[in-house]
Amino acid sequence: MNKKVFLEKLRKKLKILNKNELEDIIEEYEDHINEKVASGKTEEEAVKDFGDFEELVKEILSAYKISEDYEETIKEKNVVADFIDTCVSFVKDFAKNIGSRSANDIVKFVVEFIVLILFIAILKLPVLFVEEVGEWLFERLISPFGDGLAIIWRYMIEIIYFVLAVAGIVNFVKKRYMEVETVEEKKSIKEENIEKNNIKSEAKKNNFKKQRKEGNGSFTKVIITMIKVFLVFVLVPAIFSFLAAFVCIVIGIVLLAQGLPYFGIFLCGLTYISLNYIFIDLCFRFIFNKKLNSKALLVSVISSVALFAVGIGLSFYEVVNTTYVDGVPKEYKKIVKEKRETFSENTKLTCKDLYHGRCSYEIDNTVGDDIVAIVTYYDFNKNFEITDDLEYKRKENEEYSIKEIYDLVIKNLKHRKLYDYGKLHEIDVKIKISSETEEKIKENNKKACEGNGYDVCNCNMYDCEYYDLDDDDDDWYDE
Amino acid sequence: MIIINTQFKKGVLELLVLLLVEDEDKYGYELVEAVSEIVDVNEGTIYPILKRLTNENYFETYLKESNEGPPRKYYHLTILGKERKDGLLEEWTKFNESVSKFIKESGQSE
Repeated sequence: MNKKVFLEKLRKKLKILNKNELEDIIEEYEDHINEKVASGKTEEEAVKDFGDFEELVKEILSAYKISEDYEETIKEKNVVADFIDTCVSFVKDFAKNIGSRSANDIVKFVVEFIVLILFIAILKLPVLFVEEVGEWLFERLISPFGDGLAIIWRYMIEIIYFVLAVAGIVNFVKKRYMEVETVEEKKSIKEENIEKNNIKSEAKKNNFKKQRKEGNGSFTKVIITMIKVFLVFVLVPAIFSFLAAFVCIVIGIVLLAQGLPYFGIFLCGLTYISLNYIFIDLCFRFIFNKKLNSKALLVSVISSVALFAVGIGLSFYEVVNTTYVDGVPKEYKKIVKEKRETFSENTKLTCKDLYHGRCSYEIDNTVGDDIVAIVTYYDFNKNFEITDDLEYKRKENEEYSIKEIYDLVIKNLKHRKLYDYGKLHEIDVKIKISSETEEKIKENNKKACEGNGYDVCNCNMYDCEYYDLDDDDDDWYDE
Repeated sequence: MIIINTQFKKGVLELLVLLLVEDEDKYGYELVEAVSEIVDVNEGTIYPILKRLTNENYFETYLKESNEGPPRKYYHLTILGKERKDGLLEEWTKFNESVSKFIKESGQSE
């Protein structure tokens, strides 16, 4: 190992030290090697005389009272424990520093932080306004997707607001924190210049610096750790939202590949996922003290928002151009079965007996004493048929296929059309009777009800409400 | 030359460094060489001790031009450092005496 490699390695291992301390100690080792080289040894030999490298690092760190496993401990410690530790040390430091000159800085920091929070809270108002207006527009103008789009809209706005707020807080805390450090650095550089000229008390400087750092540093640390704990809680739903969005995007890619002309909605989803990712990344970077590239962040947020706007515009166009047809696709034929007979007490053509699906009576005095039942359904249904006697008959070996309806929806959407697909499954039963027959059916129902031994039966054409007079409880039963 | 274990080493090395600087200000490399002549110690381990003693105000440092190469950083013992040295020396002497006494009494000495 030559001098350069050794010093680089050492610098890396000791990066936990305060910058000035680190440079100081590195300089000592560099000087030592130089002296050795001057006395005739090679760089490699001089480095070798330091013995085992890891051992050396350990010694140096322990001289600063830092555990040599500091890297591991940082990783293993969980955020909550870290938070508690930091709080404890903050209270200690705060007690120590109260009345010292850094108190002024602390008050300034607190005031500024509160102002920042207030500012963010006030900014929520226009955000809410935009949110409401957007939601209102979506709900009124674009049915039947309006509700869904309104929810996505609300979510997007909330996330953008949140990302910006967190970025603002992070930036503020960072700036404050950095400012303290740079002031210190400048100060020590100045002092170093003085040192070059004459003897100087380095000890005093170090002591002074230590005090300053403890005061401001630990307070900032508490704030940062508080934000960290908060972010951990925020991260959980954010990650789930990311996963869900990811699944949606995969489905979206499949749908687009099948030829759906809804690129705008897909774009909205894509930008949502990218903003979601930026947010998670931001949180992670903050929690684990990773470097933040604010320029790249800004660029990606702005481009995501811009793409989102394009996506919203496109999806508006796409949704408006999609027609909703209140019916079923043309390729499915309506099957109508009709049966007519003279009304008798034993007729099987009432809604009671023909309850295959929706059943309704229609008063039509032209039918006279006859009762006419009309059953309507679509030939989409291959797993049953209605016989000429209007009986429901299940067909063996015929499965109801989800694939078919899926293909159908895709096919229709390619032409920007949507139908009432629910109707395809329905069996519609209409029974035409005269008003005289209506009364007879009611009477029939009543007779059947009273035959079951109830005191009071209030019957319509479909069923009866009945109850016993001596019943204590007021329960009503439907037959 | 004495070979000693790490725990022990720290206290002894601190005392040695303080003693070496007492009469005459020395620069880092000079100190390391001097200590290495007395105890078998890794050359690298002296610098953290110097650093710590400086941070604890036992040393003051200053730069002084040298004939060969760049200026050297010299260590100077402060009053606080002198007190520290006296304290450590007393501790060490007492410790040394009682251990020697015990060894003598248990008949181990030659």
